[in-house]
Amino acid sequence: MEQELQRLKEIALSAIQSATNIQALEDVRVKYLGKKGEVTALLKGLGKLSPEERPKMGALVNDVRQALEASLDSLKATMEAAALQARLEEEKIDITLPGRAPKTGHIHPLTTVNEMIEDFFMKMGYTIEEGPEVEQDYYNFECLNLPKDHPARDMQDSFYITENILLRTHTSPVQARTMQRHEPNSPIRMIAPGKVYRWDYDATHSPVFHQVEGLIIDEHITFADLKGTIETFLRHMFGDDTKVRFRTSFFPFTEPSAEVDISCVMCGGEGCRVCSHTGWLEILGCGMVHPKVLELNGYDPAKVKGFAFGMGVERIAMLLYGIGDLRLFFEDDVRFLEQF
Amino acid sequence: MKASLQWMNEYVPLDLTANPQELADQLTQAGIPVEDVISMDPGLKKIYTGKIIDITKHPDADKLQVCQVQCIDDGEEVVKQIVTAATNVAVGQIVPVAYHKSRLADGTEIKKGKLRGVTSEGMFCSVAEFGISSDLVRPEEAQGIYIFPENTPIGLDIKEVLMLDDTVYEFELTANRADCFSMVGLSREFAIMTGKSALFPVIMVNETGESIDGRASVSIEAEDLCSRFTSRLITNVTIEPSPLWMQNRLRNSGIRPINNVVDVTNYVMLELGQPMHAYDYDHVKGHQLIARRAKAGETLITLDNNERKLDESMLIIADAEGPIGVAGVMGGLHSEVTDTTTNVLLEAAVFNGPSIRRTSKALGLRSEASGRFERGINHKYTAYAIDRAAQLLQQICPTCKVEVGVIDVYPTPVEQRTVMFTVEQVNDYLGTSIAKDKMVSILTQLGFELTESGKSIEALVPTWRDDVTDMPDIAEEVARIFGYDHIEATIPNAVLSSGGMTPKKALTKKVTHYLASVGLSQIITFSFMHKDGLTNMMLSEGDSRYTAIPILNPISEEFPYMRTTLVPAVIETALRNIAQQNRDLWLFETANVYEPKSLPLTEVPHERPMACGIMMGKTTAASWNEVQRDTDFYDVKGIVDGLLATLKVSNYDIAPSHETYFHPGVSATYTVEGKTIANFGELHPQVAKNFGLSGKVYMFEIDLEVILGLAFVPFKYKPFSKFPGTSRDLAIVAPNTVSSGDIMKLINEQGGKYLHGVSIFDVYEGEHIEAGYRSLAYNLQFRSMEGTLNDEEIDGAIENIVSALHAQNCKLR
Repeated sequence: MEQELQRLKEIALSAIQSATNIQALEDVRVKYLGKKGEVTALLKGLGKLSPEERPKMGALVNDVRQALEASLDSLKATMEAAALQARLEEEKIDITLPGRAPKTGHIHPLTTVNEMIEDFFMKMGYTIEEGPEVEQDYYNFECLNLPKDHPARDMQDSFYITENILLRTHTSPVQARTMQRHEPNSPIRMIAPGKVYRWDYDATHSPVFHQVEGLIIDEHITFADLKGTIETFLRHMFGDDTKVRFRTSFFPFTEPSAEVDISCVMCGGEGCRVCSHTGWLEILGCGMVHPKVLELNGYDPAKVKGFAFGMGVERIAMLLYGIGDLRLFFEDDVRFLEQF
Repeated sequence: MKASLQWMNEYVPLDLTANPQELADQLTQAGIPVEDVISMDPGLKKIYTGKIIDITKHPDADKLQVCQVQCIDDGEEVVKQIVTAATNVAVGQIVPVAYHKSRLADGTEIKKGKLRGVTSEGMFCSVAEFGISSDLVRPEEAQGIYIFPENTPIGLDIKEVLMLDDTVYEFELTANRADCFSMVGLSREFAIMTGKSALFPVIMVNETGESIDGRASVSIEAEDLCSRFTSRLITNVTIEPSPLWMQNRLRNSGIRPINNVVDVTNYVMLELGQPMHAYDYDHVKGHQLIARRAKAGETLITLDNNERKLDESMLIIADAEGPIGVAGVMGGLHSEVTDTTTNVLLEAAVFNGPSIRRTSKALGLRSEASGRFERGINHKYTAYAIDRAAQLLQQICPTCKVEVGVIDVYPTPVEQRTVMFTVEQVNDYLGTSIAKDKMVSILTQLGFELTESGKSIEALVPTWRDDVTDMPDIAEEVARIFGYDHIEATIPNAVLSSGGMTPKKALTKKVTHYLASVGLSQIITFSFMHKDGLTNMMLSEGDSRYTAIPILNPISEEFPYMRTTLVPAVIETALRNIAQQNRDLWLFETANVYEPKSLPLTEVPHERPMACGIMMGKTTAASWNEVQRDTDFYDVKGIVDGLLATLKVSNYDIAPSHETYFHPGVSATYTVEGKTIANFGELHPQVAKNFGLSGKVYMFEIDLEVILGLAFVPFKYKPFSKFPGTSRDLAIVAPNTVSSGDIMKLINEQGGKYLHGVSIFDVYEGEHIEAGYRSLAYNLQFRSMEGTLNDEEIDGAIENIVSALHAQNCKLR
C-alpha cells in the first residue's frame, strides 16, 4: 500500500510537471485530488483499514495530498504570473497617440492679467470697484484736479459724446466716485480695473485699452508705504528678482508723483531692444493723493492722506508674455487666444 | 526742450568729458526726464575752414571749377587745390574743406583724386555733409557749399566752429515744470545735481537813443488774457545773420537761425523761457501795440502767409488799424521783420495759458512760444527778457540804438507765494526721517527763501516755481532731491479691511470662467459699432438698439457709435478668424452695451453687462479615435443651461425667440417673470449672409444684469435618500405638436412625490411611427427618503402620467 502510494505520488507529480497550461493543471488536480480523484479515493478507502494502520496510512495519504497540492499551487502561480505577463504585453498600446482631450476654451490674456492684479490687491484688503465708461467730464477731469484748459489734459486726447460727457480716459474717475460715495475721511482701499478710451490708433496705441487704478486713504499713509506696496506688487507680478525704480514725475492728481520702472523682463537689466537699451521698463504711475483731489471729493487733507496708482494692463501683459504687438489683443485670432 | 551742454556750461560748470548719460540719468530720476542724449557729431573727421584764393575753369568740364584754397595742414599753411561743381563759390570766401582721408556725416571717406584729369585734394562741403538738417540753417544756406562769415580764421575744425562737438539733452518735461523750458531754469537742476551753483546771465542795457515816450505805446484791453506787456524800441538795426555762436546754440536747441533780430528773440526765449516777438516798428500803425480780443470777422495774414479767421475768444495784438499778430501764437506778415527793417519794436508779454492753448488749437498752430505760454510764464522774467534782448541785439548788431525807456504795462503784479510747513509734516508725509538741515539745504538750493518761526518754516516760493502751492509740493522737492531711491519701503499702517468685489464683477468672472471651461475662448473687442451691423441683424425699425450714443469725434468711419449689442462685433471677430482659415470657432465676449436714457445725452447712459457667444464648425479637433461632428443647437443650449445651473438660476421659461437675427425655428428665449435672460439659437441664414458668413452659425446673448438679480441667492444643501431607487422607462408616441418640454412638464406634474428625476434618452421619427408623430423615450427615477419603494407605490404615479398623456393625444408605444 505504501509503495503504491509512493508510485501514485510520483505519477501525479510528473503529471503536474508535464501540464502545459492552467486547464491541464486543473485536470490533474481533478484526477488526483477531485471528489472522485485517486488520492481522494485512497483517503476514502482508509476506513477499510484496521484501526492500527489507519492513522499511519492516513498521515501518509495526507502527506501525498499536501505534496501534490503544494506542487499544483506553485505551478499554477507560476503559470498565472506568466499568463498575466503575456496579457500585459499583449495589451500594450501606443502611448504616443494623442489623448482624448476635453474641449477647453481660453481666457483672454488681458483678463488673466487683470485677475492677477485683482488677486494681489484683494489679498491686501482692497475692494474692487467699478464705474461708468461713459463718464462725466466732472469725474474724469475736474474732481482729479484737472480743470478745463489744464495742459495735462493734452496728454489724453479724449472721445467726446457731449461737451460734458466723454469716454473715460483713465480709471481714475472711479477714485473720485468712491470717495464721494464714502463717509468723508473714512478709510478706503480700492482698485478699479476697466476699459478706458483715448483718441489714438496706431501700432502702439489702441483707442480702447485697459487700466487698473488703485487708491488707499487712511490717517497715516506715507510715500514710503506707496513704495512698499508697489514694490511688493511688482515682485508678485514679475518675480522676486525684479528690481524696482521710482522716478520723480508729475500727475495733476498726485503730489509727490512717481513713475515706476522695473528691471527689463527680457534682458534682466543688461539693456536690449525692448528696454531701448536702458535696462528699465516703465510700468506704472503713482503718487500721494493731491490735497486738492482729497478736498474736491469731500475729504480733509489735514486729517487723512493717501496714495494712488494706475497701470496699463496691456503693457503688463505684453511684458509678461513677450507679446510684441498691441493689436493682437483685439484681433482675437484663435491661434493667439489658444496659447493662454 | 533741447539743451546744449556746451551752452549750459556757461551757467553751470560741467565736466564735458564725463559720460553724458550719467548726469542724464540723475536728472531723469529727479523728475527732469532726459528722453535722449544726442551727440551732435555724426563722426566727422578732418574737415577744416579754408579760404578760396583763386578760381579757374576746369579745362575739360563746363560744370567744374578749380579752386586754390588756403588751408592749414599739420600746422603748416598750405594751398590745396579743390575741384568743385558748386556754383556758389567765390574768391575770398571761407569754406569747409574736407581734406584727404576725411569723413562726412554719412560715413563717406573723401580721398585725394582726379576729376576729369585735374587733381582735387579734397572737397567743399554743404551742411548736409555735416549731418545738419536743412531746416536748421538759414534758408540761403540750405543749398550749395556752406560759407562761413568773412572773419572766420582758417584751419579750424568745423566741429568746433559749428559746435558739432556738442552733446544735447532732449528733455521730455512734465507739465508742471514750466521753469525748465529754459536754459536758466534747467541750470538750477543741473547745479543741484552736480553740487554746483548756477549763474544767472548779467543783464545790462546801454540805452544810447532818445526817450521812447510818445514814440510807442502799449495798452492791455483784455487784462484777463494778458497780465503783463513790456516793450522796447531799437532803432537803426542792420538785418544780417547773427554770429555763429548764436546760430550754433539755436541750431543745437532745434531752432532755425533766421536773422539777428529774430534769432535774439528766440535766444532769449530759450535762455529765460519768455517768448518774444519783434515788430517792424515802421509797419505798426500808430506805433501802438494793443492786447485785446479779436472782433468777429477780423482776419490776419500770419507769417506763414495764411489768412486766419479770428474770433472773439482769441487774444490778438493790434495796432491802430487792426490785428498785427495772434498773441503768443504767430505774428502777422505785414509787420514782420524783413531785410529792409531798420527799426524794431520788441514785445515780451505774459498771455493767459488756457487762452493760448485754445487759440493755437483752433488755428492748428503749435509753436515753441505757444507751448511755453500754455505752461505758464514767470512774470518777473518778462522784464529781464526785454532787457536781455536789447542787450544781445546791441552786442551782435553794433549799429543799433536802444532807445531810452521800457514800456511795462503790468496792471496787477503777481505776488510771490508762501507755503508753511514743518519738518515733521514733511517726514510724516514721506515716511522718512530726513534731518531739518538737509531739507533746508535742498530747498535753499532750489531757490526757496526760508524763514523759521518756532517749528514752522515759511517758504517763499521762487517766482519760477508757480507749481509749488502746498506742503506736499515741498515734500516732493525734498524727496526728489533726497532721492526716491533713498526712501525706505514700508507697508501701510491702516485700518484692516477684508477686500472683495462687486456682485457684478463676481458674476462676470464666474461666467467667463464657466464659458472657458466648457470650450469657448474669450475675445475682447472695441466698444464701438456701426449701425450697418444692426441692419445686418435685420432689427426692426423701432428697435431700441438703433438708439445708440454717437461719438462726436469717432476714431474712424467704421465706429461712430457706442455699441448697443455685442452681436456684430462677435460676428466680425469670427469673420476675421475665418479669413485666417480658423473655421471651428467657439468664442464669447463679456462686455457692456451702452443704453442712452435720452439723446443727446444729458446724463451718463446705462451700461448693461452682456455675454455673447458664437459657435460654429466642428465641436472637436480632428482626432484618430473620435468622429467629428458639427456644432448644433443643442451644443449652445447645453452651454446656456449649464451656465444657468452653475449660477443657480432656475425656474426660467422657454419660448421661441423673437429676435430677428435668429432662425425662427431653431432659437429660444429664456425668461424669468417676463424678463429675458438669454436668447440663443441658429443665426438666421439671411443674417449670416448679410454679414458674409456661410454654413450654420449658432449664437447666444445673455443679459448679465438680469441674471445678477437671480444668481447668488443663498443656497442650501438638500439631503438625499439612503435607500435604493427604482426606475421606469416610458416610450411615448406623441404628435409633433407636443414638445418634449410639454411631456417633461406633464411627467413632473403627475409623477407623484417619489419622482426624483426624468431624463430623455431617445427621440425617434420614421419607420413604424405614424407620420406627424414621433417617439420619445424617458427614464423616470423614483426614490423615497423613508424606505425602499415597491412597485405599487410607483404604479399609481405611472398610471396618472399615462392618462394625462392620453389627454394630450400621446400614447405609450
